[in-house]
Amino acid sequence: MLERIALHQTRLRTPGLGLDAKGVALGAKGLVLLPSIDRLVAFLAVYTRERSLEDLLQSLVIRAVKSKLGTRELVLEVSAESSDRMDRLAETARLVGGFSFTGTSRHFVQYRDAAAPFGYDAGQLLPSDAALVLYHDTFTQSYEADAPIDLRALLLRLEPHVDPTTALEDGPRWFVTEQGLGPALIHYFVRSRVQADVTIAEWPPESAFDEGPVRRYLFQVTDLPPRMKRLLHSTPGIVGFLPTAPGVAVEAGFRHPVTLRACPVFDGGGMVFLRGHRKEPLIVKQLPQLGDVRAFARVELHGLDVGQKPAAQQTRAPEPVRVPLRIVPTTRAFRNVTASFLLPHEVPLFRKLAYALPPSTIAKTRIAITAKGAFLRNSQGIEAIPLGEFFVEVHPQLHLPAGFDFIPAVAPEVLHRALGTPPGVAVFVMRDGKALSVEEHGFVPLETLLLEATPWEPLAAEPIERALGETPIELTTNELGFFPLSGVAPPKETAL
Amino acid sequence: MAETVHALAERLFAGFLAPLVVGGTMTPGHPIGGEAAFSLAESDHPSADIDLRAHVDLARVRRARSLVPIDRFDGIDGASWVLAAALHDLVLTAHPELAKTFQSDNPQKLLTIVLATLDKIPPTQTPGEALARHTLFARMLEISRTDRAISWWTGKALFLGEEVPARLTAWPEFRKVQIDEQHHPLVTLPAHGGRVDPLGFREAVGRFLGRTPLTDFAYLHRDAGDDSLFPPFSLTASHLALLGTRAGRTLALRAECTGNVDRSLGPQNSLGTADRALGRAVRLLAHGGGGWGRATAPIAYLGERVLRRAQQELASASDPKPLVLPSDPEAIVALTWGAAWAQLEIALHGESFSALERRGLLALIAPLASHGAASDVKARLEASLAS
Repeated sequence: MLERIALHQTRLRTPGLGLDAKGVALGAKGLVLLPSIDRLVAFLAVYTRERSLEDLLQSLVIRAVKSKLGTRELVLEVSAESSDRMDRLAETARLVGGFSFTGTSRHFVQYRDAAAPFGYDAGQLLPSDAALVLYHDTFTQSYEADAPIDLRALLLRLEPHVDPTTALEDGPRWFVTEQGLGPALIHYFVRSRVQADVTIAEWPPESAFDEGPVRRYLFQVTDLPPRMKRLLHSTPGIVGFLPTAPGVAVEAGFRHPVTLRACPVFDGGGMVFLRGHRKEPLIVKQLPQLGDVRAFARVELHGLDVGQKPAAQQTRAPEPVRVPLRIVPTTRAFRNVTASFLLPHEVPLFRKLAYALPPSTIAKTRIAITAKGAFLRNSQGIEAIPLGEFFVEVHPQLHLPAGFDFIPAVAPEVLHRALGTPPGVAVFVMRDGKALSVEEHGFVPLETLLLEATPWEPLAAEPIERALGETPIELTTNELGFFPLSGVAPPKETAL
Repeated sequence: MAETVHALAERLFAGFLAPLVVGGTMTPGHPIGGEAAFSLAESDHPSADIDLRAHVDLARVRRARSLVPIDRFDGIDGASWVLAAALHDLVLTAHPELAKTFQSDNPQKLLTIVLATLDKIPPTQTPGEALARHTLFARMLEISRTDRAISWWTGKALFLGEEVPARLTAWPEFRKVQIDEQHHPLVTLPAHGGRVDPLGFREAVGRFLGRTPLTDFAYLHRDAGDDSLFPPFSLTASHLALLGTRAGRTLALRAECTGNVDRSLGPQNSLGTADRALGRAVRLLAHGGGGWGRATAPIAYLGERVLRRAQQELASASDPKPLVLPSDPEAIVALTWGAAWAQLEIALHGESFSALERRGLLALIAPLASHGAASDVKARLEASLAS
């Protein structure tokens, strides 16, 4: 019945069949004949694994057909826009045990395969009034059209496969809870600081025995902490769903056989929850207003007026993390030795040593005198003063004895924070683990503190001219009285 | 009521001695007399005015440090108190009102007491004593009195050392007031209102200078001719004690060089005046009662003056010229005798000079040392050294 189309063949007998630019016989439509519903699901699953049905969806028609013998088969009909689309459909159909055809109205011939690269043409058309006549190299069959099958309805009726791995997947989730569990879950999310939105959806009563609509809480969680996944997925009354496409989510622990993301048949404004365990999907046609769970947190009012409540007098700082610090010897070569500590009995020796220090060392060294001893610091290195115990600067505010290290081996910044050192204070951790702090402004340049205060005598400076000049001696005459020489006697014989 | 010694000392210090040292208005009071003057020497009299005492101490140190590096003095010794009282009375002898009616001989009486007091003051024994007295009386010849002659349209008046009353200077233009001020130094006071004998006054001033030899050397450049108001320079026991030591000669030489040189005379004339005064004094000492033995120290001083002058010539001039023989006979004595001593000193202790310096110094003083006046002195000095 079928004839292979030869190269450069231009005349075809099948009505509505033509040749495209490549010379491939192609009708207006493409058709895939599938023997059963499971093959159709397999076809959709395979096709949507790598491609989207969005291009096919406008022309996609799935219908059941019945042969003269009464057998029912399924036909998937799409617009054959190009041989490339038809090639993909033919490959998928061949994989799942279906047959691919092309034609325009009623007569469809087998689409090309490896035996006929340019396709087939019907050598003789079958006279029939049937709605569909398929010409294959192995059979020629006419079919009567039956009821069409809606793709969305088909997808909703498909039972998800069990897949426990999806329960622990990351990403956004939906939780549908029974009405009684909703408030508890809200507060649980609030306490756990989980970002989530919540709404209440209503479904009509499932039977006449129900008193009212069925209400369930819907939670949309952006990122569920891993520690909560097992709890929420194992709690009766709480069902978690993984959104697989806009408007549709599949219960956690299950996987839909068709890649729903490639099937844009669900309304984004609504929500379809596909449940496992042979349960009907929950369909929310229009998603209600979602609200932040924090808006539903438990609110308690205290009895006092805010204005009358006494203001806090002091706040208590959080307890710092107290690390039992230990100073242990280390064989690691030390560097950045910028400080030293002199015990009180070493200070007199340091005073003698000061006479031999070079000017640069004296100029750059800073010293702080404390009750425990003297601390010397020199950013260029303190080794020029071979006295006292050297300290290594592990942090701008933290010094450790040279040749020692601290355990636990945390970062110096962590140790600095753990010590709670305020700014402007230099901390010296001694060998016994005790820490001594010296304020930065307590360090003064060594050269200003090196010389002892010389006793000095305040002298009133006079101008040079006044000091060198001498006031003339001006003799004045006074009244001498009437007897000027009264009482004036010559010297005695033995005067001196 | 008799004035206590302490009150007298306070009056003398505040009104006379302190202005003498630091300058200012000097207000001598009632004459002190010799007996009271020596009573001052019996104990120390620290002044109640601490500031004034501190100023006096500083001025004394400043005066002393122009001669020798010294830092302090231990108060005022007894002899200095007596000297201060004597100078106080000496100044009062020229007081215009000292000679009262029926008491016209008051100035002469007081002058006699002053001379007697000065005679009983022991001479200085060490350069330190001489220096201490010099710091107190170095400015004694700077004492001056301002006399004001005021005239107005209906009369005139003379005020000697007194301020002119304000009533006489009122309305100066309307009353055509004219004030003529004249400053009279101490030595001129007998001739300006004083009733004391000028020669006796000059003798007393000279005797006072003899008790403070460094001050005398400082005023060595004074013109002390026969008709001069200044007393002539003479060598007393204080001078001989000062010049008898090496340090004393150094102090005397420095006092002479830094002393009160009369600028109007010029350096050469001033130097000539000093040469005359010294030559005369040494000659009188040698040929007088002192003898050559007492004149050795002054001649040594003359020799050091000659050596100093030769060294200056040697150091300052590229072509040093020999020292010129003066024309004045007294100055010839000072230079030739000094040259003779210098020549002998270089020969005996010339190791402090280099050979070149020795030759240069000897060449410069050769004209003086070869003078006839020096030969006799040289022989006497050599004989004195040999003995």
